[in-house]
Amino acid sequence: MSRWFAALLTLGLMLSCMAVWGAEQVVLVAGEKSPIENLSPLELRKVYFGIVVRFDNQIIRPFRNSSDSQLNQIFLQSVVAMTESSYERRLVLLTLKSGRPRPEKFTDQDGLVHALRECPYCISYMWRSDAERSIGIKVIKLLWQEN
Amino acid sequence: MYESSLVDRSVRLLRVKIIRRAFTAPVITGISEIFVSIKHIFAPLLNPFDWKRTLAGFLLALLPMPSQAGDEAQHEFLFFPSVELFDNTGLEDELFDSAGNIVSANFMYSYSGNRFRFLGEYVLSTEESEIERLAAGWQFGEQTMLWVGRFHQPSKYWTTEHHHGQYLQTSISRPGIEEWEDEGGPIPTHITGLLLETGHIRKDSSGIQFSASAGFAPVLTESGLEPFKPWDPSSDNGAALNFRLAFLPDYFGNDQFGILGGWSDIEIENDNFASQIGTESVEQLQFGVYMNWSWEHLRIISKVNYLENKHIRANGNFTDDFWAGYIQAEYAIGSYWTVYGRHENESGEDDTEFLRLIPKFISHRNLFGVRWDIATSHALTLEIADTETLTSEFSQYRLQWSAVFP
Repeated sequence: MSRWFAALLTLGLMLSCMAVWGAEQVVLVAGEKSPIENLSPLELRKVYFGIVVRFDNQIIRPFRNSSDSQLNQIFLQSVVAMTESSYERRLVLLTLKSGRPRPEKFTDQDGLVHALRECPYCISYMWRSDAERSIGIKVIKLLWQEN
Repeated sequence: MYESSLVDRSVRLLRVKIIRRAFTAPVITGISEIFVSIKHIFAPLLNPFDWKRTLAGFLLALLPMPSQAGDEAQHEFLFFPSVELFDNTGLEDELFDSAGNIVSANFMYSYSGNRFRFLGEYVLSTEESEIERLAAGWQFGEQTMLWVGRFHQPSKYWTTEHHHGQYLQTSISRPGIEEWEDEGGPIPTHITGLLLETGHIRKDSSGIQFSASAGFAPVLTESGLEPFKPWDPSSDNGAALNFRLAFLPDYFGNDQFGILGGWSDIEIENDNFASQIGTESVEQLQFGVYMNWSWEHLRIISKVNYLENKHIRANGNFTDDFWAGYIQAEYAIGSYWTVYGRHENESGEDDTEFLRLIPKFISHRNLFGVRWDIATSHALTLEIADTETLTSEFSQYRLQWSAVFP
């Protein structure tokens, strides 16, 4: 009886682990030589609104990954907490007000990966599967996970 | 010759300042004198007709840039075009054109290094060609910037929220109390001097922002207020001090409310006009409260200002005052349509001598408008208004296309 129970428990654990592994995830990424280890949600939001956040006295620069519309929607909901039009309009307004630079947009994932490798204080976001496939990229933290 | 005229002018200014000292708080007078002195020292460097000195001054201003070379400097460029058709029906005087069109292009450029930032805004339209803002800033801490140059002073909320980005404001017109000083606004807008901007974000994302400025105020001319012209050494500008303190429930959003205020020493541009109106200068004190708040699809923008104007006269000073306020309600219908209305009102303007010197000031207005965001970054707006100045009443009809690139 106890052997049956142990076998069922093991199977259940394996299935739940597979569900997590199979779930889609969005992660915060940087170049593998980047010294950035972590950013709080507030710091991340600041960075994507053009507020200066420094690491090693260097400004952290954000890149937007516009290669995938679903990824973009997840970014808008989980990082900046605004609709696309509200966010775009807010960025234009902040730039006009004080000259704040807007995040650079990449529609091509290869271009984004190349830019991240070249810039140690730059960050972006992508699907975990894409991040793991990309050479020269490291995952900083999990931003979103499919329920 | 030039230096001797400067000396004569300095002596004359000193005489005026000594007379004024009897009526003005010593601290404020001291600040005013410091700015007058600085202006006279730097005026020859800023003369546009002496391009070598102007170029040298500009290059000196850019000196911090090379030290930023390793910091991957960033550049931003924004272009705001707009085309407006208007018709003013029932005009009783010639202060405004009865009908016509305004084609306008606003350019904004910024350079951001590690700590240094440079910002310029230039407007070219069928009405004017003007460098609106030209300032160099240095960042202290995470969110503190100190700017030097020409800027829009912080106590005019509408102006510092939209500047000349016509596309960013829902309505075509701006409230009379928020109007540019050279287009009928009673409060100085363009100040040349120092601007401090700072903010603090709490862990819950709420925060406060504080801005304060000190610089040269505009002068009063026959047609209203004229901003300080750095290239005109003969201009006689006083000092202006302004501030705004705001609370934002979400530091990254639009919602906020706060207090604002300022003091300006507004000199009369020339002696003939000064003797004609019998006033040497006007010391304007203003303060107010404002809000910009959203509930679902509804947004309310409102401000109430109190203005007190002390007229400095040889035969005895006098003071007048008035209240001015507006409330604008905007309701978004879906993603593309917004209907809006605005009520502007003033109290005590009929007894305010100062407003008689600002003939284009719009004292009362009720308007209704509808905006259609026809595509990404393009909008078409129609606005109908019932308008009053101190001398006439008329109806305004406006149709405008506005956009922003890139």
